[in-house]
Amino acid sequence: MCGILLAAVGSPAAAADGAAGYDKPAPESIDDLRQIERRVTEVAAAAGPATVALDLGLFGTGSGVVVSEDGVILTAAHVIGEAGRRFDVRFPDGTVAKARTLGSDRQNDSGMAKLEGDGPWPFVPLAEPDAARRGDWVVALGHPGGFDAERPVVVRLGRVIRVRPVVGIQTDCSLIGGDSGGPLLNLDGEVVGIHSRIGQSSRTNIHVAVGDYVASWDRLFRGREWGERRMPLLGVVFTPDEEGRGVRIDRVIRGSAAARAGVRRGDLLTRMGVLEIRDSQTVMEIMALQAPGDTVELTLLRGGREVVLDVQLGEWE
Amino acid sequence: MKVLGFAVALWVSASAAGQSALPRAQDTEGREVLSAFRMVVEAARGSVVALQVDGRPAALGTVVGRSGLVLSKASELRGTGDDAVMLTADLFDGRRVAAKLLREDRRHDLALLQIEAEGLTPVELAVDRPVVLGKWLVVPGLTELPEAVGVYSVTPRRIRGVRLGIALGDNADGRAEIGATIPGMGAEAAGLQRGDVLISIGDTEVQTAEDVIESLQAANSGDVLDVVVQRGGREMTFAVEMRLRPLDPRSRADRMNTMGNGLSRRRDGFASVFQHDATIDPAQCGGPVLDLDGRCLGINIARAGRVEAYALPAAVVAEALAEMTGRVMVSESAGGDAEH
Repeated sequence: MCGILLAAVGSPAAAADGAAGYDKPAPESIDDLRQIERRVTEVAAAAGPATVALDLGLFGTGSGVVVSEDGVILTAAHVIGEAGRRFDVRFPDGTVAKARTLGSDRQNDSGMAKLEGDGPWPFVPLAEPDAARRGDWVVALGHPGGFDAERPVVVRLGRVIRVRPVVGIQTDCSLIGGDSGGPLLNLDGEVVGIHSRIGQSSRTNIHVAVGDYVASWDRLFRGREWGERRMPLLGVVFTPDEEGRGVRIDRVIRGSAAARAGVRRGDLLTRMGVLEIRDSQTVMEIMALQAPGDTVELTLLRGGREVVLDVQLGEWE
Repeated sequence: MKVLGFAVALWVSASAAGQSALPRAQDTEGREVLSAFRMVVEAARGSVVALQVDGRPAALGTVVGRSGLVLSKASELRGTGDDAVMLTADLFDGRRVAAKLLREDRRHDLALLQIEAEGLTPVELAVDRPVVLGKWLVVPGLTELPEAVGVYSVTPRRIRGVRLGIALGDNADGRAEIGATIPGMGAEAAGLQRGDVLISIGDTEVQTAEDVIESLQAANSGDVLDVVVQRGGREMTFAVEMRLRPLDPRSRADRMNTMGNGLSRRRDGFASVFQHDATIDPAQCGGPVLDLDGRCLGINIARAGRVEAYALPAAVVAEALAEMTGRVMVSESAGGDAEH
């Protein structure tokens, strides 16, 4: 290892080339940007045809990606619901095929399905488990807002903000509902993650790591369903403010995340992250996008003053 | 209690093993990454202006003529009331100059302006560049770093959006009948009512719900269509303004879309736009979208959702510009003739 390293340093060619634009902490020049661009356009072209829309009828729509020639689809557990459902898969070229839902792990949100018929289907290779690293450039594909016959797969670029062992891969790829189940690809064109959920900031999009699929591949393929979704807990009881300014904190559960962060009874919650709180429903929907351990910035009105607190969410038992 | 203790311990060990976050400056649109685009922005400095309505920042503008012709997003340049607004433009050299609205193109939501400045650098409209998904897109402003960067997400397409503002109800004869009018939309404002049976919309006769949808395909926001209905045995005609669907604060989809950013007031009903993922706010529309070579691929025309920014393709801009400048010249010479 040491020898190789020395040889590389000693080689004039290697020294002149330096790191590729996509391996630097940040690109430094137009040339670096072009190196990233070349890879991104190649990845989008190669992975687009294998990125599919899942139409589960009454159960909603989502995205997925074909990862084998015989038609295994990786998606999110919350997209497919339960095993054994037959549904339509739409390919970007207009092909519609039948598929069946297989297994899912509701805790990490990994889900699997299988196309019927022999194929061969267009597919994208998987990355090594745990291949994703902080700072990696990644391409997100999917059907934001649901399938739209007049719009092909939507391409977005982002970076891995961090890899969180329980939660998944966090990126700044801008996602929205309907993207769920779509692939996150590295610049080698391999699947490193599957879109799971979005936070309220543009840099808190969460993807299931591909390693979570690999680790329980057989169980997923056999249609097993397990795990419970871990629900985040803030630890407050609230009612809507009569003037519609937010929600009023009526009670703070002792020892809860809110209590630890310094939320007090009587506070008026007006914002979570950048999102304005107008009613109780908004709070519930924002919470539905969080996982235990996520940090949420609360803006509170307390005695006419604005107080901003970071709360690390607990877990609903 | 034991279970709780375990869960907490698991979380602590997990977060201890987790990586620290990427520095914000290295985010896709972080400062360090934006710095790499410096050269592209530097070369475009004379091609962008920042427009104000009554002194408030309203939109960016794209320079299309050396002597101060500028294109921008029309709907961002209107005031809140009926009063005439004062338009000004900031240039890259720090000057603030007067701007005057010459023309509007409602179809594309473009405004053609004359600003009081010479020696600007018109953008090079790349009308015949092949579209490659995933290519970098740069949104230059007046500062040395880009306002935003992103990639080409979706090839040009039509964005429907205008509506009459009705919900169709059941009709025994299978005819399209108004079940309800939507508050704030054109049908209600024009006086259409529940129970009205639709006969024709514009020049199109309608019988079924599909006919109604079909009849609106060519309509643009702001168009006024004659809607003929049967009410109590009589045929009546109403002039209905086509409006865009308003954002619904109760809709989960709309709310997810608005998370993190305000959206443009006019964000649908476009004949042809391409989509990208640069994070622009409504006041950053109207300016050029450049590739790494500094060529202008289009003009930003809407922040349409959490994921979506729309830009008019260069070819569409070139066509609209030719149409508007043509008309400007005609009207100027016509004015001259009238004085003889």
